[in-house]
Amino acid sequence: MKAISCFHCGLPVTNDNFRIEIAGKLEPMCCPGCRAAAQAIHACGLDQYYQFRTALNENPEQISQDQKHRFKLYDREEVKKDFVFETNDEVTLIKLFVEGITCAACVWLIEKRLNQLESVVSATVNLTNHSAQIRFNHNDIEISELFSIIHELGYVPRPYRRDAQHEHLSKTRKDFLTRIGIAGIGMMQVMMNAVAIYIGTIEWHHENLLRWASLVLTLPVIFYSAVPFFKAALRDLQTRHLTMDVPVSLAIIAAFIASCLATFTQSGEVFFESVVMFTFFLLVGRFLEFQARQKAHSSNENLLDLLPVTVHRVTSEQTEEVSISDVKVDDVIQIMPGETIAIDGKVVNGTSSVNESSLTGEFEPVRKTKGDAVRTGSINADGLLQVKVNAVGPDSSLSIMMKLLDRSAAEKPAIVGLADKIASYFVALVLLLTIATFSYWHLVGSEEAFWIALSVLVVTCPCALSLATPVALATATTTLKRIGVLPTRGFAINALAKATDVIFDKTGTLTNGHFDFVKTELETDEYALVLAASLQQFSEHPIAKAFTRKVPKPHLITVVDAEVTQGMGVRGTINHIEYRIGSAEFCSSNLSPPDTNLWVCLYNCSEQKVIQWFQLEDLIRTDASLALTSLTELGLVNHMLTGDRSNKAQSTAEQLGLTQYQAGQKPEDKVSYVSHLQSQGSKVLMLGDGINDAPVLAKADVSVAMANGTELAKHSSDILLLNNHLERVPMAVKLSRKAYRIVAQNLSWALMYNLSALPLAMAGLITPWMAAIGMSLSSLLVVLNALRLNKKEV
Amino acid sequence: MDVLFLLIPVSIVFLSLAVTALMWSIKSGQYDDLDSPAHQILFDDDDDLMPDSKESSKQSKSND
Repeated sequence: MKAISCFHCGLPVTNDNFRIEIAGKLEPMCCPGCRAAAQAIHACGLDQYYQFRTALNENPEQISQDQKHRFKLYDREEVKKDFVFETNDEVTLIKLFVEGITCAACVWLIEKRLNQLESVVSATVNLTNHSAQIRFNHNDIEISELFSIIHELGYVPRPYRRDAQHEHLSKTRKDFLTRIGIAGIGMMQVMMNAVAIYIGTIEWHHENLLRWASLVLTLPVIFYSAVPFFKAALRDLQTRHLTMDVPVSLAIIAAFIASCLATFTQSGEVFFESVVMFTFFLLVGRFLEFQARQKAHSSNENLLDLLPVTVHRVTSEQTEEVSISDVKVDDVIQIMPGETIAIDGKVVNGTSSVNESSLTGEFEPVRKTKGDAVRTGSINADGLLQVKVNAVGPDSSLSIMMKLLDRSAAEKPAIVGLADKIASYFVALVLLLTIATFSYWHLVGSEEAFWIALSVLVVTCPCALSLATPVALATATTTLKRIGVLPTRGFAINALAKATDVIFDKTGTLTNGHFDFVKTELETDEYALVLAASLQQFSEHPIAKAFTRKVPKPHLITVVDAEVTQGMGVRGTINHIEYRIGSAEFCSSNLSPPDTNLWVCLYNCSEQKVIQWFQLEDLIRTDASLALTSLTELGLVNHMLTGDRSNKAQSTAEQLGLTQYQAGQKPEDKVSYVSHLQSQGSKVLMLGDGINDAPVLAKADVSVAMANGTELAKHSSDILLLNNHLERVPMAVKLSRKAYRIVAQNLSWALMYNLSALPLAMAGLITPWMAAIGMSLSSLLVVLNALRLNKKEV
Repeated sequence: MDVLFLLIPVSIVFLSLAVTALMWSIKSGQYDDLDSPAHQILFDDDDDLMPDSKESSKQSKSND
């Protein structure tokens, strides 16, 4: 079969049953979720969206009644006060975060859809931080309906949270822009004055005027725009660790003071234009780095958002709905199927399969019965449970995971950039030599002593030296982003180049993270699949999802007397024939599966015969083996760590040719595995996706999170794999190594230039204009060299 | 050329006006989303404003 990809989200279409008409053409859809979203878009007459978009959509979850019910919660007075910003008799302004926005067309789509509603006054969506502001008439429409409308389009709306970190980021961003703006405006004007001075045919009193004007224009740049560098330099001096901020600040201050002196004494040369230009470019570089970091963290999903706001507490006779903050230890809580468990506790009544994937990374449910412990953040799949509370809030397992994460992040080995190391020696050297030069010329009685000392500082102005690393890293970052690898921390590229060991998580990283059919036994019958899916629609089990994903809702047949047996299967009557689907022993006592793999049986109870065997597996990503081979070729050692205890860990490792792997690993085990490797001198690159991976992602020297991973994993990683293509990882490693080489070349060139110019300047042989030309040329060379990283292929 | 003594201070006054305008625009959030406005202009979503196309679900509300 020719590979078709979903028109909506781009995933491969395995079952071509979900075509719908978009703009007069039948387009394939991969799953009911995508189809529902596409249908909603089509029904609102917004087909053009697909023409406008520049990135594919995220795969939306299927909308359930349950989800809509959950949105009802946001209509409550005490819940909505958090994200209602203004309200009067008619109009209310709410702020939301919308997940799943991939490009500007998504913004267009959501704004357009909301603005179609009569009751919406205005709706604006921000592409940068994925927030939406909706002004609507609250007499005509409920907040929950707005949520549902956004959700129908395939996005996930979440209430805005006024958290301090977010406010801080947006303030930092505005600060940055103001500083850059002022430096930019100042730069343009001062440069204009400088051109007039450099042309040289200007009369003295005019030049003097231009100098004073430049001085005035430079003042805001020095006292506002450049302040962050000075502050950082001061901090460096206090901690006795010299970084580039010290020479940068020194160059800015020295050149500024020298130029001021020249202006006051009406002698020498002025360098105001160099000062402002230098500040401007440095600020732009820092801003770009900040923006990349902010982008990765813009989504406001918080772990606590995953938890329900209310729970059902069991009292003597009945259950009552109470807020989670009112729950105390030893209360008994009833947990409905499909609900997220908000507490740690022990089951006192009932049996159910519980999905602990958010904690362990394994999506296959664990059976829980009386006496078993359940943990915060896991999801109750099929049965009704009554749980006695052990811990809630800060003592729960989810919070403990967060603490583990914080500790690992704090222990992260600091990678000091090569430039920083060289610079700290270089800076010290230059300072000493400048003082020596000044003392010498002063002692021999030269009136030029100050100017010679200054030209030492100018000629060694670490322009090229300080540009060498940022330019190369900025170019490498852009190229990495183009191939779908987004570095979110400054040191990521450096660390990627140095990595010696790669550790993969299994479920969700090396594998897709959900079940798929691999094969069927006996005849391949479309009808059997429809039968199976019709029965499985009653189950919340991940195995059942593999069936319901395949068959669209309208194709399902009516089932009478459906009954789910937790963790076993489903029984039901279709057209007066009783069927069972599930494990072999559930269907009939004398059945056994074809082999040891995971098989599901569809059984006709009336005729006592097996209709179909389905084999299910969490498939290995198609590009996993290619990625592992390329990494080995690059000289890296591959490892696999998984929380999975079953023999699947072994078979996955064997299929991929992995020799180093550990199964049944708890998050703590993973962290200690990494620190063991690190103690042997290895630099560890970690790839993961689950909440359970977060601590180890933070611990590794450099870590990559999958784009479909949990928010916590993304937060604690240094790099995001935007398109989930594993083969991009070796490409990124290669590119980083090249970037590292270019940084080294740049640094050695800059050092060579500076060191050879230094003695000449000390001897008083270099005039400031020569120093200026030399400085510009060396910077230009460094930039051009860095631009070589712009190529996609390495 | 002595007009420079007038023009240069005037240019500084103009610049301070420009800086004030910039600070106001940053503060009012005009730079919060730098990505989508650049694309939005390219979306041909004005079909319903064309005389011969069919009416969209809502006529006058769209604010483009």
